[in-house]
Amino acid sequence: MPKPSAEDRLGRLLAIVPWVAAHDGPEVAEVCRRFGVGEKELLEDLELLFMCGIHPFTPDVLIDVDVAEGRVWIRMADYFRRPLRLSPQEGLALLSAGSVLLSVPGADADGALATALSKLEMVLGVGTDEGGLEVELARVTPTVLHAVRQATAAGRKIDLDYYSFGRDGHSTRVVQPWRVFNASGQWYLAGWCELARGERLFRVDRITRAEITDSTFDPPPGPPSGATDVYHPSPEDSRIVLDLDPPAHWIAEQYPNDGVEVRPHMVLRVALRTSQLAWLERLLLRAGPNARMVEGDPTITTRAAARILGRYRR
Amino acid sequence: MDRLERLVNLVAALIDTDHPLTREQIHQRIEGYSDDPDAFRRNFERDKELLRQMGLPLGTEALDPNHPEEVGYRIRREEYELPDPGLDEHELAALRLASAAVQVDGTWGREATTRALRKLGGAATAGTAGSTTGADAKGTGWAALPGGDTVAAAFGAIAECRRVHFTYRGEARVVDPWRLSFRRGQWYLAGLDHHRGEERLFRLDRLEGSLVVDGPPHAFTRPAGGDTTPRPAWRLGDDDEVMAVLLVDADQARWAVDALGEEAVTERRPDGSILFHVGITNPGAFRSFVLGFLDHAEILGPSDLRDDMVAWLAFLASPATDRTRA
Repeated sequence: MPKPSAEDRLGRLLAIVPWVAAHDGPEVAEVCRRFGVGEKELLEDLELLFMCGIHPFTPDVLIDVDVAEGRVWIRMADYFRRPLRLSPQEGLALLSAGSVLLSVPGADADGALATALSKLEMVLGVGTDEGGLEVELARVTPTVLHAVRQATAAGRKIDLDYYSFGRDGHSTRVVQPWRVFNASGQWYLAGWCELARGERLFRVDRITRAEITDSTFDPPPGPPSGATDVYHPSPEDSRIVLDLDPPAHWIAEQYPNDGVEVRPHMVLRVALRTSQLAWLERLLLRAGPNARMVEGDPTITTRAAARILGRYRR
Repeated sequence: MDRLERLVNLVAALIDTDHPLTREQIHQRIEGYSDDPDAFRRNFERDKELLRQMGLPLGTEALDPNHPEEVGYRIRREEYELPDPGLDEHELAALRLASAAVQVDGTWGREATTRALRKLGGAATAGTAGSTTGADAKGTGWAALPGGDTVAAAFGAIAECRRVHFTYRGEARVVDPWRLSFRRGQWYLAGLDHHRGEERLFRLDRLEGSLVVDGPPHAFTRPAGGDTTPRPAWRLGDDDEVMAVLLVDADQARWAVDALGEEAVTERRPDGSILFHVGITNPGAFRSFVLGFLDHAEILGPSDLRDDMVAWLAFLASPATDRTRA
């Protein structure tokens, strides 16, 4: 293990000293556990601390450290009576982590985490009454989220009704749930789909029914791929090339593509790959006259528009 | 002498003093610096930089108003010390569990939570809070939030009520930052935009360049309450408000409720479809939203809005060769 830097050790000491000083002789083992430090390392740092203090470094102004019978006392360190305040990064990281956990459906809004966060907000100066921090995760049906998490924890297969956004279709499938996670606010279920016979990623908000079955399954062969992107363009997908006028430039910015070429008259030529017809239909219908198909099947747009138009004209 | 020992002595001296210490005083009073003036100067510069990097509020002050070039150094207790939040063991354990479960991305995420917990006194054991948070700790790190320096800088500025500067949509902005929110996968900053003279919402990933925090702390007071919800695209226009009537089929209705809000629901039909009334000021954005439902939704009124949709679709339904560019 690399030796911790002076910065790491100083940061740790500035946190340990006030805590030990405020507690009447805590056990060395307890200090080690709390601050994530090995006993040898801790004792080395404490030994060094024993020589520290302020001018003129006479015994009466040196920090007093006692280690005896597995306990430790620190006195005479009034300048270190409190730990260093939290940096904005530290405050934000802790508060937002807590806020994410608290916005999981089923979290106890009055529990220890909630009170911890409001106490922290007070000392950080971002109490929610007058502003501060809010975290909101994508909405999911709490019973569905609960079911997929339970099935994952218990290692049971789960029976799902799923709406595929990319294909605009509903399907029923049995999934071996490997992992439920939230990425950038959105909930996902990763697992083996028995219908597709492959590893799949499902958006929990598009699961319309979830039932835990009695059948178990073998755990995944390796670590999950960790992909958090539902849309994976693949080389076999059909290629579409579009010329985009400025109102449709968002297409080039928002979707993974095979390259963008700047053309005269503020036109961007972008190459996309997809196997998902409904996804492409939405994109073309929204862009309307601001996207012209240079390569691909132009009847995708006309057929989709005619289908929707049928609804308005009946 | 160990550099750590020198650093501890330096911090103790800078906190303990009630007046700024000159370089000479620091050289004399702190054990561990070389007698050689050049070596001292070099080492002191390195130490100062390290302490500031760690977030210690090491201030530089003029010793005499008539000689501003002569400066002294100190750390003011009120800027250094973390006020005691009074967390009990359960609360600490809950925070520890949260930081294990939620990964905040960016250059500082994981280490920042570790350092923060350490300053708060660590936490005896994780796990005791599992039942109170409604989350199992299995599969640690099951949530990830984007982070980054801009978000952290905005957060710090909110906490200290300090004004910020940045460029957004090609315009230089001066903003009193009020609130930070994470919604729909994005961080937003709400605050008073001085040039516009009103509250605005900024998507932090769309800032051009960096967010600069300057000016003194306590420069303003944050107003109470306020809405941090970004306005939906169909409310971002300058048109007069129109009340759109939208019908969404049963199998897509729940996503429409999520997007439009429960308050927009005017009728739940026996077949499961839902009728919405939505105030819109940007008809083009509303059309895009409705097209997302493909043929599972229909604009029923007002007739202008419906006619516009029909015209848009009729144009697209005609073969491309017949279309003339608008």
